[in-house]
Amino acid sequence: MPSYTREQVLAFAPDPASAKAGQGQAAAARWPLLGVDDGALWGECTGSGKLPYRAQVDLSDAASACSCPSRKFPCKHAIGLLLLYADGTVARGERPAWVQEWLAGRSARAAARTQRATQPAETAVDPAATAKRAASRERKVDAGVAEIQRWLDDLERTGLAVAQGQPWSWWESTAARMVDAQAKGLANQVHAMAATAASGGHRPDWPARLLDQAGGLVLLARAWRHRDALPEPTAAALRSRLGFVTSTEQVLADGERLTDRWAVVGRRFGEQDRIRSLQQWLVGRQSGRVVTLLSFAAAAVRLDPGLPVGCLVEAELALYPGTCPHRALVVERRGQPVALDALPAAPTWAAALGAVAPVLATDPWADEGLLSAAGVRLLPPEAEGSWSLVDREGAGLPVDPTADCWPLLALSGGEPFEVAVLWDGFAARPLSAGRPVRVLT
Amino acid sequence: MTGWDDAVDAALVGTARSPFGGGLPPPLDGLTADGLLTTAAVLSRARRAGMRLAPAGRPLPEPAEHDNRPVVGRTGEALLREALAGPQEVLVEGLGLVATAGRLLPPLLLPDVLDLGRRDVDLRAVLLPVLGARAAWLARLRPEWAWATGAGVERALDEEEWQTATLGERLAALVELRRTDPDRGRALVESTWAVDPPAERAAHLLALGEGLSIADEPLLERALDDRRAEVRKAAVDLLARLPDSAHARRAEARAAQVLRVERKLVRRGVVVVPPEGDDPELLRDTARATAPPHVGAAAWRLERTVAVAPPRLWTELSGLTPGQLLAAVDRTDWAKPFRLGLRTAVLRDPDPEWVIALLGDELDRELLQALPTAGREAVVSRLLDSRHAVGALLALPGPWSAELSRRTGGLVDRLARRGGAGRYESAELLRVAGYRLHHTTRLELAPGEVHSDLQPSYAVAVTALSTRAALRRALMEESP
Repeated sequence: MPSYTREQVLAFAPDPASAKAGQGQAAAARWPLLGVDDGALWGECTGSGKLPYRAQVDLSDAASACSCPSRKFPCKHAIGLLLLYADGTVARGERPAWVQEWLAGRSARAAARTQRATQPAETAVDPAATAKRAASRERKVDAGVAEIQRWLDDLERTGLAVAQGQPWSWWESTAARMVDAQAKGLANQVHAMAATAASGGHRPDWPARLLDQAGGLVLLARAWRHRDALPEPTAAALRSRLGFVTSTEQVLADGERLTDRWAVVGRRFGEQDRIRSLQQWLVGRQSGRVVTLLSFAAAAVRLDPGLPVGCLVEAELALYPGTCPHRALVVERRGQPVALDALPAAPTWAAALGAVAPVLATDPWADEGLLSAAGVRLLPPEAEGSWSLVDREGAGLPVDPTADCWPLLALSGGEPFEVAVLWDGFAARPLSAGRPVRVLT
Repeated sequence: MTGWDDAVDAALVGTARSPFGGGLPPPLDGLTADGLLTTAAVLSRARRAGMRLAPAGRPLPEPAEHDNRPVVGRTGEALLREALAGPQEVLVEGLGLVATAGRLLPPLLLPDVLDLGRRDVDLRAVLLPVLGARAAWLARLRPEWAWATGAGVERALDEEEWQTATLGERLAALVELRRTDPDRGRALVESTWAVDPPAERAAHLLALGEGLSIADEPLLERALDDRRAEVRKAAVDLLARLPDSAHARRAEARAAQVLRVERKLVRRGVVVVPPEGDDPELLRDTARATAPPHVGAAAWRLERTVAVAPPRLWTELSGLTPGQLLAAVDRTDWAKPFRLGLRTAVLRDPDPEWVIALLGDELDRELLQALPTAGREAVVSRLLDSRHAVGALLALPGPWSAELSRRTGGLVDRLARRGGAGRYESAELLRVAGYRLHHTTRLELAPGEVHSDLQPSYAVAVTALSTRAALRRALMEESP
């Protein structure tokens, strides 16, 4: 029977809140049914509903499934189960039918995947076939773009207020058709608009945000129609934003290489469709270039932690073409990371914002970027307003209402500091600040 | 000509209802944009590219005063963050450690800790010493954190505020007030006595335990006649602590009737005589508590009589030590009710000799925990060689003295190497020892070195212990 330590189990948790919740579930009293055998671990746990939740773990790879409604993997019940197992308090038992079915389903799916992988790969050497596939995709995207244009024209006529009142399914049906047209980027944009519409309650600026996003979509459609006339960097950004993927091999082969000492100034965890993600922002000490690292993990797989945050790391990176800030791959790390003593920062917000225009000139869809300034102080909100990051000229950068600024205020003690934020054109989300640099998320 | 805001308004409504006829403003008017959304697309990019921020318009808060005391370092901060998420006992010990080290809590932890102190009044006493000037500054910026603004000085409530304050606020104010002006505190309690619900009356009385004096007697005697049991019980608890009160004199008189010493040749014996018949005064003085099932009337009267008498009476009356007295009582027929009553009396007024005498076969944790810390450590020290060692150590909150830790370190190592009977308790001890052992204690055992037969829980407990001990050392030794 494979063994796991508590530390290993807690590391499976997708975020600290889940780890803590999992520890709360790790009490034998909550599990009227518990059992383990050589391949599987299972249990029934009292939940908030009438029926108990059934959780199960495949011990060979710690994959889990649970009947609870949580969308996190592993969920807190699976973590609790694994913790009980790690503590040696689960007795051997006879595997129930529902566990057997799940395991059988998993191995069937795994076998199918192996079969596909070991089939002789289609050699990409055949240029005619590649060209044929590319042309076919272009036609599909043409159709998708035409359809999104019709949808946008409709939106223009009926108005954003009506759209905001539409149910999720209304947005989802358009997004689904974009996926069918092999233009996943358009689907993502539609989903983003749906999220803005849904946030109307706590974002009073939702109409401006929604129009900004619609404008981006209009430009994507227009740019696609005139793609042959675009300069290369913009064309690359267009393809990337529509969902044309550049493979890791291509990046390593053709991507721009950059070696620098990179300040890891911020990170963001995310989750969508049961896939967890981690995004990190890096600023090159010498070049001043801003790049971003992205890693993804499916359920029960450990998420690559990327580079150590709040540190300076010497590394060679390879850049993906297209979107700004460029996504990068770490080709090679060199030496030991060093704690970052101060953030690279512009003297004022105006100076920092000055970098936005040149980026937009290349990638007009770059709606989220890194800004950093020195000599900034936090201004607490009055009444229902939002926090503001005020620079030495007195200019106030509005902070996103969902960001908790009290820790940053405590860290600063009211004195000026350097801060790096994620700016989406409407509000800022602080990523890191201070000397030495503390990462806030 | 359309600006961004106009475009937003128009887009909300839709062109079907309000036809769009605008063009782009300069300097964009060279471009042709057909339709509202295309115009908006251009304007949205222009808006982002040319973003100008408005001035803040409001004054910034003045910076915090500088506090010279050093702040906990990074590894200590990680330890405390873990403690914040764990059981309260562990957090309280961690905070005590920080205070002993003369350090302050790190700034990033302050918001969580200020929230905690707001919800949990009991934690405030242990939080305030490690907050510092920056925490007070932060607290002044947010009404919910008002409890920490003076960093120690709770504003006294006046009569009107007392009327409308919550129970938590009243109790916090009362405890503080009883230290400086106890009569005023009692007056506040009396001012709403008639209208307060019984649970609150009882809680107020118990808070009067701080700064208790004979001046409180009238209120307490009045409370003895209260309709509700919990109020009467609180009154009895407090009156029994006032040796000059009428209640105490009555209790002493009754106690003298109960115990008689017989001088025998070899050893002194005692005769225990339970009080006879229904004594309304006894009933009143013991909160009119009703007997539990299967307890005889005489036994119950005896138990209650002993429960409200101060333990020192028994040694005075008999001339025996606590241990000798209990041995003698055990030889009578009334041992059980006498012991039960004595236990209540000792819990109220704990004395190490009485606690040890009463401990007996089962480890009575509640008795142990009633002792003040210094006395408790002495008692636990004496128990280290007995089979109560693990249980006694669990009942002793940290930080432990260097001497006790040195002796316990050996026990902890042995437990980890060989395991122990009462597995759950031993594992629990290993888990908490990491927080309670004196920071100079070195354990012989390295994390990897556990007995191969040990359950995984032991291995985990020992790993946690070694890690925590190392972190605690880091907290005490690292420079901020």
